[in-house]
Amino acid sequence: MIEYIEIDGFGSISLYNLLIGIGVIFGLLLFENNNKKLPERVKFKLYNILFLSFIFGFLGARISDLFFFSKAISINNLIYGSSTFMGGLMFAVIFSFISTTFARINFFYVINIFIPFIIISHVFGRLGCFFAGCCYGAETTNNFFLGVKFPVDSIPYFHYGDVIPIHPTQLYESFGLIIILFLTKNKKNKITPYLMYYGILRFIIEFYRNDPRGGLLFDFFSPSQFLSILFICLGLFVKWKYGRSTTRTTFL
Amino acid sequence: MSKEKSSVPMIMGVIGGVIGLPAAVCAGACVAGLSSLSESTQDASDLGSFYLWMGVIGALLGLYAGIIGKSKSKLSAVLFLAGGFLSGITMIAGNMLALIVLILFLIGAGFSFKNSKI
Repeated sequence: MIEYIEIDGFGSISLYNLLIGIGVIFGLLLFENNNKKLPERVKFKLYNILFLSFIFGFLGARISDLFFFSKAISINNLIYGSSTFMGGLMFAVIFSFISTTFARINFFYVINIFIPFIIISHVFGRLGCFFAGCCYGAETTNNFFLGVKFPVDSIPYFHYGDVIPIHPTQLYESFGLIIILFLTKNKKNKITPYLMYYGILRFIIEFYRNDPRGGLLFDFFSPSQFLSILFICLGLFVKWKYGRSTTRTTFL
Repeated sequence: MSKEKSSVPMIMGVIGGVIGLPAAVCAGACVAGLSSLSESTQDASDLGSFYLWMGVIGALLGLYAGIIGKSKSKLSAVLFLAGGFLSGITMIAGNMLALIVLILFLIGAGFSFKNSKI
């Protein structure tokens, strides 16, 4: 586990943040590569929406964490608190909806071309979680070949009180997301498969996670599992919507 | 054959942004902590907030400049310089990571100027 990269005389850089940055770079390169033919003025609009959605998504990730864990709403908690990916994604999508209305671009079109960016950033974000030791999994047996032992002083160590083999749920999710990236690669409608596959993947992974999951409505499912079900339903809704007006997704 | 625009501004902007944002938070907290030893708590908190916002705005400007680096190169270069300046100021608060951010943003600005001529 490498949480920080120390640079003598300069301080330390969080590997989690750095990996998110690398994910964003790969996401942007993929975005550039997939949309080479778009006019510059349209790309500029899309980049503005992407940047602002990213900022609102980040804020949303923090706000939803406060909500799920019933923490007090304060600037301190917002700055130093933890984040929830699914909450952030929902905030970002809501912001995209508002901004595309103002920019007069089709909302589904924009989300469709943002999907590879979201997936690739998320893949690296989860690798960052692995190095930071957060979002860890439940205990597993010693002979389970995928079991990972986090070192002393890591977050899982403080939770379990010992160095024990646990499910590397961060890596499961990263790997699952790479598969989703390939499954959505040549699809005209990327929104439906992304929402459905990610919803299913996250719903299953939640059973193997053992970090504090927060609460929503009742304790049988975690908040992320409720959101996973919502994602699957939204995926079906988009499929129904696309089925009726496919041309809307191909023109700005 | 026309040359393709460089992706360097985007890489510099994003890496500078993700290093600069948490560093700005640390700088704000450090200044507030150190100032509280010699000044009133209110003054220390104000000074901390000033450096925090300076660093955050600088990092966000750099991040934005990186993202629009290819489509609006000239604007991107100007924003890189502004972001670098704001982040650089937080070096006074002992935030040495701001020096790395400043260098990244200056490289980004240079490449954005170069992109604007393509």
